[in-house]
Amino acid sequence: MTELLQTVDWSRAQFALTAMYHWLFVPLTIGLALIVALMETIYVRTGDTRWKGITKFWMTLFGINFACGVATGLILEFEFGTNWSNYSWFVGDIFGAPLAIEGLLAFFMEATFVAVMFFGWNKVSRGFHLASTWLTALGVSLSALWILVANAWMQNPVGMEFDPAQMRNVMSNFWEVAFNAVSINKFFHAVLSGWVLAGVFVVGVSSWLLFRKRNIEAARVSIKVGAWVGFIGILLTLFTGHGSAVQVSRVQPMKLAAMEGLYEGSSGVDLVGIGILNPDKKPGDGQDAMLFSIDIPKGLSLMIDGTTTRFVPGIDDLIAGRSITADGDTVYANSYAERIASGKEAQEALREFETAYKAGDTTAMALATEKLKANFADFGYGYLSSPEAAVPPVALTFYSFHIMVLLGGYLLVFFLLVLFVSYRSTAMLEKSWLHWVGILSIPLVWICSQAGWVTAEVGRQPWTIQDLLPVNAAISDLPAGSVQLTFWIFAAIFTLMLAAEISIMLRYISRASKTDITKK
Amino acid sequence: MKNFIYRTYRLYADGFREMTVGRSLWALIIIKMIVFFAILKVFFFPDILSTRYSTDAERADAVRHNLTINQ
Repeated sequence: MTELLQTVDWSRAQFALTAMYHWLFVPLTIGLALIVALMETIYVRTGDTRWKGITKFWMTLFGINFACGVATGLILEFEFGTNWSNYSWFVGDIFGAPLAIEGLLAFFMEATFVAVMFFGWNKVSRGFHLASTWLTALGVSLSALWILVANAWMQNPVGMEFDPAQMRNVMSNFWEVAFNAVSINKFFHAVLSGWVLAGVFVVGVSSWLLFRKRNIEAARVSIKVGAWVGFIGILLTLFTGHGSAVQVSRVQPMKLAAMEGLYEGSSGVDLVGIGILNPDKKPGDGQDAMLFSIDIPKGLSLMIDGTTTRFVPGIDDLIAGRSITADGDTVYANSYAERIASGKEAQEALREFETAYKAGDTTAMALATEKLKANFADFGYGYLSSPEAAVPPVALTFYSFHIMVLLGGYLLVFFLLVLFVSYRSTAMLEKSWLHWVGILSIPLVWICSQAGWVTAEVGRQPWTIQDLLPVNAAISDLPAGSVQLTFWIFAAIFTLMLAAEISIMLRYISRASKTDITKK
Repeated sequence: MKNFIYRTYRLYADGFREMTVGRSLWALIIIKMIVFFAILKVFFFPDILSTRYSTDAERADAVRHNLTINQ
């Protein structure tokens, strides 16, 4: 393996490690903030002080998670500047604007209102305290918005123009960057998945309280709030997940093909429910893609288009530039080989621009810029060694997608069961098997959440910016050993931090559970 | 205005003084920030383009060179 590939792989591994650790904390912060706000609203509306104690219990768990997770995302920005310097310069203001807004929002909304939330009991009015709690919940979601806008732009680069003199993408339309269909869908899908995760967390911790027969009344009412938030969250997450699939089919069809292990497309494609991929399958080799699968007939076509006849291109089709209309007509776009040639033309134009720029030849600069513009949509393909290099790791994308979908389906059933038991069969709340289902669902919801991000990020490989900049061009000129060293440093630090969070949380839950939490 | 500033000060001062679990959390946050900013950022995560080049024009040249050489 060359030094460049080792640097790329270690940098990707490091980014994946830090992003995944960061995402352990974020969805719980988003969802638990909402649940705490709802509980405090019940307290303020009913005047029942038991709800004040229950709110404080969950608010403390929110605080522990918030403290452990805060600033873990900053590490990602360190990595941009060090490991991904070409990328971070190339994206230009597109990343700067959303991240600056995020920083201001995070500072002013979260820092201010979190302080009132924790320190303001009995010091500010009930109404002001409640408003602060809701504004904290809103603030954490709005922070997520700007990060997700930046991420969505990498998947669907719009609203900008590339300036070869600055070597940066310059924002030409803020609203298109911030509020295109991909970013809006991504925002709601991610935030709503936080509701689901926090719902399971609250039901799971409450199940433990019931299992230990401590604070039974508080646990029962907490289960109801957690289950409602989780249930509404999972319904909306399924809806936005469908929206994501539609968007992916339009802007990242290769990712969709990898998610389904689809090599040869056709009209009316089945959706794989459960399946095992053929590990020897390669693009264009004619082998079966699946060793085993249970499919939903016409499901994939139905999912992305609402019709059973929609053509969905597979990996081989996309490489060949082949597509078919809904009427069955074969149409051809540029093949990946042609896009690679076009990308190389764009790079040649950039070289010509550089020569003209240094010579101060404005006519040649204008000509080179025109040539670059004409081929810029394929700019990144020029860095690929072959058409097959544009295919993401199919197995990891396929399995992570199906794990997410299966666990999402499980969580829907889980919340239905919990709501049924909570309202219609309360005697069942004493069953220890149900308590264990609640407790064991906690790790499952985190696996589901992480699997979603693995699908989104591995499925878009090899691109850091879709079609414009692959990972091998985005990387800094660094020795692989230095990235490897910081990878292990991060692995150690984040593992320690996670252990600290779990330890502080468990000790708090255990200690608080031995007191009457409704009398805090 | 003075009253508002004093009340805000008391909110934070009393809040910090009366913390229980919060003490461990603040210790964790402070340790984390020191490790991130005083150690990792300084010794392991320099901004490559900012440290190697002094102007934006030089940085643009460097990236253009990186993205066109040997491709």
